[in-house]
Amino acid sequence: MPAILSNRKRPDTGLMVLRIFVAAFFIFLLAPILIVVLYSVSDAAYTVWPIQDLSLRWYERMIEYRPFLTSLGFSFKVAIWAAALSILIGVPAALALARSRSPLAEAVTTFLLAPLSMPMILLGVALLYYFSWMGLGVSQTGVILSHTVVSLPYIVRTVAAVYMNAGKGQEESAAILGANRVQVFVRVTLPMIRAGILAGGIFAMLISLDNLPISFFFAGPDTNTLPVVMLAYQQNQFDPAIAAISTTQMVIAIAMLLVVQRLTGLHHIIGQQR
Amino acid sequence: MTIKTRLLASTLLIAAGTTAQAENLSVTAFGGSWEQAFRTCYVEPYVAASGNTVDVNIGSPTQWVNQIAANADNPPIDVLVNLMDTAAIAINDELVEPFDATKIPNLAKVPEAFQTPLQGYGTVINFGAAGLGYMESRVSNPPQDWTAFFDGIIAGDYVASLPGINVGSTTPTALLWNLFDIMEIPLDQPEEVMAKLSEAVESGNVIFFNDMNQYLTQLQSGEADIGIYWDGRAWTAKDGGIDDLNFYYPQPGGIISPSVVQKVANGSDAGWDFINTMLDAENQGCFANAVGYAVVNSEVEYAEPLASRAPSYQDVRWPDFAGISEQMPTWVDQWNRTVGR
Repeated sequence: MPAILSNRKRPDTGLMVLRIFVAAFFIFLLAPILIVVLYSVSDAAYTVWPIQDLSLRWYERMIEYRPFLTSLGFSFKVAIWAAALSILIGVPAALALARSRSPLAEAVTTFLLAPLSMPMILLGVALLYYFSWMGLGVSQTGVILSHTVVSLPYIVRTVAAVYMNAGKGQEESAAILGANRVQVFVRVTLPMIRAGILAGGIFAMLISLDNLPISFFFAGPDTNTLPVVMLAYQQNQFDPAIAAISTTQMVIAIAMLLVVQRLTGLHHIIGQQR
Repeated sequence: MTIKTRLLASTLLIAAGTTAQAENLSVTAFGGSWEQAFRTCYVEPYVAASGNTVDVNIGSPTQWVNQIAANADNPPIDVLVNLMDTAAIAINDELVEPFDATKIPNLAKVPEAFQTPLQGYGTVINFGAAGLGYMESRVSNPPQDWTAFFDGIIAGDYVASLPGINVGSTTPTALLWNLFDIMEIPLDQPEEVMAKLSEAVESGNVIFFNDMNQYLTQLQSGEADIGIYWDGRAWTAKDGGIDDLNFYYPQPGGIISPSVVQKVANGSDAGWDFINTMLDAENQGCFANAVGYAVVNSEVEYAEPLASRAPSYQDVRWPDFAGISEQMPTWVDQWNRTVGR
């Protein structure tokens, strides 16, 4: 038998190990999520393993327990507002900082990322007292502004990174060809940084949706986000209704990603070129 | 009618109209079925009787107390349902008003024992008691008293699940004060108690739970066989399908775990009527039978199974809440040094 053929038949141990590793990695990532989904269709009143019977009773409970759905709606409202405000504030800041030659620019960039380095619970208490001093107190505006504070760094970071990588050439060419500043921004800069805005916006929304430590201090009858309601529910009972609302939230998040994929393509978000 | 008389009449009419206007009251409640029973048994009767509206703020005491402290002049909460440790903070920080019995007629039906720990700044509204929950298939001869329970851990008779230091308000009473009490040691001398706890931990027969529901998972999975838990939660879990679980109060008795109500300073005066509604015998009975916890109005009659399960407030042990609050920083420090988890 020719040597080349026998080499082809030899099992590639490295590739097998890699495949096993990748499979184990995905199981490690997905197993907790799958378990939550499985618990959500369990018939038992408690999280009992193995699951005996399947039922949709916890989805009925989720619909019947009004705070779950009202807080889910409010969470999305806050997430959208926080992402929008972060884009409004963060994009101009990122553009200015990315092109700035001032020695202060780096310090300001670091300062804008500061909320990421602070313990969220400390930030939550501080923002509660600060906004209360400003007269905003426990209000929808207070929640939205506090979520904007923690969402902003994601927009600044992603937009600044995309903009710095893009270089100045295209903008300068447009200006030389007669485009004014607004035209350069709308027709050249904005398309260049669109992926950064989208990625940052989606990160900002996800950070907001998942936030507990800050939302906790701003929660009131009209300002309860889903994580706060889930915590309050879980402190007093642990039926699989928590799993049902978690699964619902997950499905909505996946649906959002699919919509983005449909509209613009996820490659924009993860930075891949086709 | 003179102009002066007309003006006076108009002013009185406006004043009367203002008084009759519906108020919006903000009250706090714990989440889940607790909140649903709260709405059905307390909020609905109050709204029907007063014509006022009520916003129910579900969450946790730390959150509420901070919200009130941050807005002390114009608090977002009028009636604070609280736990004992955060109630002490609210009293010390002057966030709540002293109770006036003339504004709460139903307070007369609440035994003094439920009011004394709040120093006149509130009352207990319902209570459970900590005892021992165990899996019958794994613990055939559960310890009859608390001393035997801790000795059994060290001897390796079973693996016990104990509340960790992060389980607020309840660990200090159900575990730490319990040990001080049965070992007859003053609260300001924690070394011996921590040494006993450390000995139990080092035996390898203790696991801690830092979430109330983690306990049930530990018992079901076999990680633990027995542990400190609360009556209402244990019975709900058993009725909900954990058939192997049983619960009892070892001697010299269970340790009370109360929920309390306080009137927030600078909050709406309509809060007094709401608190009175909460203490009404019929409303308290409705709440007790819905959530499975004992209540405080002495005229309440429980339905089964609560009637045969509810502890009497005279039989449970009452921790020195003020002393615990004072010693807590030292206890946490000692816990971190000796137990370390």
